[in-house]
Amino acid sequence: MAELSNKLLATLVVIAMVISVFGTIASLSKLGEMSPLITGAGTTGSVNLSVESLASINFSFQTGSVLGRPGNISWGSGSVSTGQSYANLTTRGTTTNWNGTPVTGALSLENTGNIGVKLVLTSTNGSAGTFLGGTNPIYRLNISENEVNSCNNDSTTTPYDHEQAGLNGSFFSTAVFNVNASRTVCGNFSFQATKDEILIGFYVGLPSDAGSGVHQDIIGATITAAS
Amino acid sequence: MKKRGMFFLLVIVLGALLVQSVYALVGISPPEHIDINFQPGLERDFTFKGFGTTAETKLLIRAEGELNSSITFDVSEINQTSSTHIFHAYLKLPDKIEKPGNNVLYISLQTASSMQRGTIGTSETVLVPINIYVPYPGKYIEASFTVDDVNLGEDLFFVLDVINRGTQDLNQLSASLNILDSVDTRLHALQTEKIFLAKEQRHKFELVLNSSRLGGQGPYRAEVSIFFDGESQVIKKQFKVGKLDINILNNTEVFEKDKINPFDIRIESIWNSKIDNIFAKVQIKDFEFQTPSISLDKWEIKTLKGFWDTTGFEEGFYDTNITLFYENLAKSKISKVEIVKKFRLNTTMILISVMILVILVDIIWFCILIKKKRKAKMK
Repeated sequence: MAELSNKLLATLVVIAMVISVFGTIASLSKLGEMSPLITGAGTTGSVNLSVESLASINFSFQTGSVLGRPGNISWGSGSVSTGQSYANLTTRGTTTNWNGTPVTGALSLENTGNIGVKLVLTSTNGSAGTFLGGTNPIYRLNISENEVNSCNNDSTTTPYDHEQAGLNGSFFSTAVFNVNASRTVCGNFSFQATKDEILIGFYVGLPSDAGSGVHQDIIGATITAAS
Repeated sequence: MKKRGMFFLLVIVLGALLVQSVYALVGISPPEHIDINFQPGLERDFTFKGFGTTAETKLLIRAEGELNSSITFDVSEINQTSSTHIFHAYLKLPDKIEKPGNNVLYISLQTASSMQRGTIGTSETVLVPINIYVPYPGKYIEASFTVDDVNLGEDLFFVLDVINRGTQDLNQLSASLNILDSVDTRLHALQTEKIFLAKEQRHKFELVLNSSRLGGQGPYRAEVSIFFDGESQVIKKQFKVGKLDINILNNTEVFEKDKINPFDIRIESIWNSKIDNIFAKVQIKDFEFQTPSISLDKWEIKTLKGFWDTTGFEEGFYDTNITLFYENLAKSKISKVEIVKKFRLNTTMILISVMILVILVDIIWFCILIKKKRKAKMK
């Protein structure tokens, strides 16, 4: 059999390509006409997705980057050192005049919903006197934005100490941070992933004449959809 | 082999059950407040989804507020064994509510945990407010007025939202708007149309004015007077018109000699949008330095930080030329700064002082000794 020249081969390839392109176009244009016959051949489609609004918060106990279950703030059993008027207990890991266990960390509160919420913090005891008893007891909390711009306030809400570096406020010396029965902390607690978390630290000044027994308080976080 | 696999699976399942959850979560959907105009004996049903149950935590469903007896639920709690996390609330209003205005009723979802708590424990609650509006006797309106800051040349939108909260219809409702500058000079007046507003109905008035018709950049005040059947109400709002400009408020003025000093420049945006890539060049005699770039949000005040090495400069006052660069614009300010020499104690100075003190004591002691000798000779 005689060998085909390169020129002839190239011509055949070009003809094959042209036929292939025209064939594809013709097939695609026919597909639309066949739609009643072919059940799987749709012309247009749409996807509906609706996201329900959700107001949601999550309390946890945070030590560094480690999360633990809430309610872990416990200085254990102990007593005020003999001859001292106070035991000072903080969630910064420091205790003075106290032989119980120290606590390092903070309550972490995260907006896990998809809307901004108004955040109110409550205390079941409502004051240091009810919580601890004794002479001039101290019970203070400090709010920090663990993520900047998480807690947005307006003229009707007064923030606590918004230390962005994390619970570095001087709440030891300021009665402004005294825990009370109820206080609006954020007028609009943001839900965006990078700004939806605050930290709450505590300072307890336990007087030597506080009664013996279990001292316990519950910090409540109450949210409503921000207006 | 199969038995061993089953054993491992059992261990994993038991382990997962024993691990306590590291969160205490509560959530409700939909959470938005519900508005209802009071009608005697009105009945409504609501459906919610509650989230946050764990092995140790259940969700308690309650109603709070003065009208809490008006609402009932199909379940009182949701726990992990509940067949659904959906619950229903049934509202049946009484025939009469004495207090006019907004009577708020809350649907409350609260966590209740069996976990042991420490000294300070937590609880979580989510509330859904139901606002029940009881009409005020006679003619009564509730109004809100908003206007946003703009940039010069943009339109100002004044929005007045009026709701008839009285027991009577309003036959003639209108509003007039005055725009005043910072010294209370009236610059513009706008008027709405007169409308009829039936009880429980709301109407939004929108007035538009281009900000170029005001006196340029600055703060302004909008005063809206609402007139309804012979009665009136006034609402005031501040707003700002911005222009693409940055004010140099102040800068560091005193510097220490022969030291690298921080040079702070406090700047303020008077533009109602973000400005990126702002930096300053500072020239003091032949020396020039540049600050890093920063961004300013609308109307924001921030500090540009640079450093000035005063080595080679003498004490005294110097003129500085601060030039601010932003958005292809430049703005300069001449300011006076001072270089001072701060007194510092060093080892050499301390030693010299001690030596001088010792010499002085010696001289005094020597003088006293001579005096005593003279006295002895006199005797």
